[in-house]
Amino acid sequence: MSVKRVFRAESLESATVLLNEHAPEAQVIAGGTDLLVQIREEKNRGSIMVDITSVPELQLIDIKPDCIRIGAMVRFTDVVENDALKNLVPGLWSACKSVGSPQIRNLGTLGGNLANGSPAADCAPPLLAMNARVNVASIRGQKEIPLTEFYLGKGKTALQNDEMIESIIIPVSTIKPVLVSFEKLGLRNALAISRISASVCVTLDENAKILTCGVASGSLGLNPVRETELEEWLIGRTLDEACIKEAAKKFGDVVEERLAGRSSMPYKREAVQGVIKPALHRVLKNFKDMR
Amino acid sequence: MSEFKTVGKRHRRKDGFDKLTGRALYPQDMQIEGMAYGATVRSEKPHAYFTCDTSVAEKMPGVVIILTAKDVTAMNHHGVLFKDHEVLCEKKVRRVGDPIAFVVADTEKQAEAAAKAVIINYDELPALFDPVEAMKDDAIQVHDGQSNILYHYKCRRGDVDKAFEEADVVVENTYYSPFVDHVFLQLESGLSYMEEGRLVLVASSQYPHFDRLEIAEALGLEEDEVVIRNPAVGGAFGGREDITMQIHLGLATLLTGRAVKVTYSREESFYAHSKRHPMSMWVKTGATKEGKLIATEAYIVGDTGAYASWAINVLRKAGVHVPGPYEIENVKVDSIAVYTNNPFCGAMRGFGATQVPIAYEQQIDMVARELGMDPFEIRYKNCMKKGSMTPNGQVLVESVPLKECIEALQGMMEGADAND
Amino acid sequence: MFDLKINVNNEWIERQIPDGLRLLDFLRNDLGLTGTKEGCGEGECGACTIILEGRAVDSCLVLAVQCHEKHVTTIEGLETEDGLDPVQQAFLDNGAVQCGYCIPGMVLSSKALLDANPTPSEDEIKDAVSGNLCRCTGYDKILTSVKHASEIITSKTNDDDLKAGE
Repeated sequence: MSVKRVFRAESLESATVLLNEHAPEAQVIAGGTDLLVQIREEKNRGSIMVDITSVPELQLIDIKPDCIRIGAMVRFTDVVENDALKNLVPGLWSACKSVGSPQIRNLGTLGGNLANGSPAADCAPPLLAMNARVNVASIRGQKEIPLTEFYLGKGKTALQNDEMIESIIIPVSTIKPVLVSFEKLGLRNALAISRISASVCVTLDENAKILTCGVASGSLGLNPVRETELEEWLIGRTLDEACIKEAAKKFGDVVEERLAGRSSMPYKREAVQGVIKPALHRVLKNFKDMR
Repeated sequence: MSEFKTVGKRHRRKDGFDKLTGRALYPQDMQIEGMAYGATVRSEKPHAYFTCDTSVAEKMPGVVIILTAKDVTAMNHHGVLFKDHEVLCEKKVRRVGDPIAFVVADTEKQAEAAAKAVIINYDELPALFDPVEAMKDDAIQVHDGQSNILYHYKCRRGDVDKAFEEADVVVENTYYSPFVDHVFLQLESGLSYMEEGRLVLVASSQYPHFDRLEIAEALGLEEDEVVIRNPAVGGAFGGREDITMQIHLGLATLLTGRAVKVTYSREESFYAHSKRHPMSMWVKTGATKEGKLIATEAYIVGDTGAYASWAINVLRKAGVHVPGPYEIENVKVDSIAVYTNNPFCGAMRGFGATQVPIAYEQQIDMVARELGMDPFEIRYKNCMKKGSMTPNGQVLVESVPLKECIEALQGMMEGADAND
Repeated sequence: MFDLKINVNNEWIERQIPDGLRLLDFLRNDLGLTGTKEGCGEGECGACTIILEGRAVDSCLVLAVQCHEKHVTTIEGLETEDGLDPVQQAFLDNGAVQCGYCIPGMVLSSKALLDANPTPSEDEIKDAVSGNLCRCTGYDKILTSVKHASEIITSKTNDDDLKAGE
């Protein structure tokens, strides 16, 4: 449906008030890179837009020793240009760098990437692997939802019609170093929606034994997901070539079972190995470089 | 030797400045005071008889006129070789995207809204998507009263059967090359208006002189009553050789007196213009143990989709080129163009010569492999040169620097500068 | 309807516009700046690229209202009384223009890059234009042109520095 009205919010509070006043026809517009395409195809949910691009508190990147907070309006380019994030959370940095094209990265936001609910959202796997939470705001206040509980099925998120993402919170593990990577398989190098993506977040002891482990994938189901079977298999093992090779095969088996009956299964069963191996190799390399 | 003024010198292209500064105008950039806008209603079915009800759409706000087949003032046809396209389909649609009606309204939004309100009732027919199936005697006819086999090119030289018997190596395979779209960046757009008693058509086209003939014939005008203005063209590669909106616009202006403009979306653009002919190419190659090619037999089936466009030239070219640029005594080629209910195919850069190299180059490589011969060596042994005669009888009397090209390539691929 | 105030090519403009109007349509239809092109309407081709607050964006994905009180540069805004922008000049001199339809977007993506990074590497140039499709040239001369523009810009800067030191 066409856009009837756009309200420009000047603050988080006014945004939540507008969303509530005009529910259910109102929805948030941030970068617009998904929404304008939906409007063109007449698939958008609402005809009233609440534009949050001018809300200053949503544009902050706040890095503290125990947690990183990224405002919902932070654009992919803002992450790419942030050296601190590049060093601390390289997997998230890689994911942001891989999105679309410079033009899309200059507009698109991390909040929008999650709120759109696509299984192919590039930010989701590293955020899931790092146990991130989303801070959700409405006129009823704010509440944090673990990202693992945010996705509720195809295209569906835990956001109610009058709720919006305020920020994304990444807990920084007290066991250093935290190593996080992201790999994506698309049909080409740019302007490519991921066909498969994977992110690995581990902490290792000095012998590369895996102490904690988060693995998440995109485009391997209705939503981006944590790969708990693979995580359980990895914990306690030493991260080396043999382990990576076996982990990849295990992942292929997991995908074969999950996507049984789907036409993409034979391809994805093989292709996932080509995604998880570089993701694991990258954290291993970062680990070795640190020593 | 006197100095050349232009050849061998660097020049800035004439229209570069305008294109770099936003001054260059494509039809979508043009406006005429008081112009109306068009929107095309296209078939959603690949093969059907249909009826069209414009009564609801006609009453919608801003609608000036809704054109259907009955409104075409002279001949309801067009086509670069055969006039098998209808300007607007009258009774039958043969492909998804076949134009059925052209809505003209005061604004773009009004035209689009009214186009959605045109009601088409389809009486669906079995549709053909496989050209081999379409060639069968009992296949449904895409063009009523006409065989689906549109064209059959034959080339015969020598005796391939005898040559295959004598050959030391015979390699036989089927190759397949798919549909490809030109995806020129500038979307189709055009304007038409009356000027001093003449119909003016502004559209980006590869074929302005022929467009004029087609418009004049369809509308019943004299050639000099139609003016074609071809502005900047945003890429074409063969995809702007067929009529798309030109006659729709001309007819709209003729009947209403108003200037009319239409611009296609990217989706509509894909439906509106031609594609590269997909081809299945069965090729059999025979050679002596010294690596001399002595026979090529080929059977090519090209899917031209719902309309002929350039099918004849394309399939002929494929047939002529399928033995490759090699001297071969015995040649038997059949190259066939077939109607189906797929998107229609026409000119696309290469035009029949592009599909066949995947066949003949792999054939010669496979012969080389069977014989343990170097792929460059086998090509030097067989490549055409000045004085060679092509399978269809052309003697190459001008320059044929094929050997030199292969040598240069070999140098690049194997020489000191070659990458590992 | 919205009372838009927007700076386009260094000029503040005020217009009343429908809320749902795309920036692309505002530029082309309301302002008559037809240099910015529509190629797909979905942010896939980059033909509609303009510079918004210093960053290259697809104007088919932005609502004009979202540009309230912001600065936009279109292709028409590049030339000055002194002539073509170095990027435009380099494209002209290196034969990087064929059908021309990708050119406004391609030039603006290149300009946004060089404004932020006057000496980009080849990979950085490729990345900067990775959202601009060209169906004609094969991109080679476009990359050469951006490198050449970088040389023009840095030598101009060096000249200016030299002059300042005199």
